Amino acid sequence: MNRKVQPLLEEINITPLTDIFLVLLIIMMVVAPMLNFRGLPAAFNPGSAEPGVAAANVLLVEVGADREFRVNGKATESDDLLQVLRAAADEFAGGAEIVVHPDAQLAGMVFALNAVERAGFDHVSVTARQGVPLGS
Amino acid sequence: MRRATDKSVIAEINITPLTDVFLVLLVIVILVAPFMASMRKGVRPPQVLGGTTLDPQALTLEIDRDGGYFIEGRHVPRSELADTLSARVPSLPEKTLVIRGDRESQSAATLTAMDAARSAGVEQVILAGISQTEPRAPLPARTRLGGPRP
Repeated sequence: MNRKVQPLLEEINITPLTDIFLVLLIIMMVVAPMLNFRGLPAAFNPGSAEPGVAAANVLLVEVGADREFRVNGKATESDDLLQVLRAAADEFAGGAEIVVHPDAQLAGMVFALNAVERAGFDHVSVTARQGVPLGS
Repeated sequence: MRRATDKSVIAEINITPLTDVFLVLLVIVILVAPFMASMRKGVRPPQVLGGTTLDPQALTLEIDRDGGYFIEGRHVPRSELADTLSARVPSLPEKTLVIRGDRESQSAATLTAMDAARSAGVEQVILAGISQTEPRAPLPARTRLGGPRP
């Protein structure tokens, strides 16, 4: 008696391919947030600055210890900082100087730097507030 | 005599898909490992809007919440920071230093690092942050759901 002959399976097995792509998808989902870094160029001015005093045509942005901002000596809320800086961008051709209190958190300093950059200032420098020496 | 069309049953597990998956995993781990090595756990950079793309090959200095310095995962005492940078900078193709600091670290630590970098011959310092999406402008009243029709 003849045994029944099974037909040949003439399709490509895509299971390994699917496995690989699923693993790739999971890895990309895990790694993607870690790669989402951007950078802000920052020029450091070694001379410490006196609070409230800036060179001619240079806008002074002060970052205080408790995330308080002052633009040319005037207290400014963080929500209004970008708007104030944009309004002043055309007036100060010499650029902007960010004076940072050393006790200020980095988030405040980066926030000010980001706002100055977005406001359209060409020359931006970061300096430490006078009277507070940096560690060495 | 056995017929030519008869096929014996293969009673073994097909490990080809498993091997494929592990080979892909191996390649990904090899590619990602150098990047992950330079990323210190617990450092949460501040958020930035816009900014420039970071060069993954650039020398990266990490600053943790307590103001500790780390280069390629190794702790660098503050007193040795300038010397360490001075030793590394001449071999860099571009004299750029990326500073990836914790958002809650004191700015003094970053300013000190920027000062040391300048002394070491770094031409450009870049402060790294996590990209934040631009907040969307509110829709005009006419297109809001439930808004007045024109």
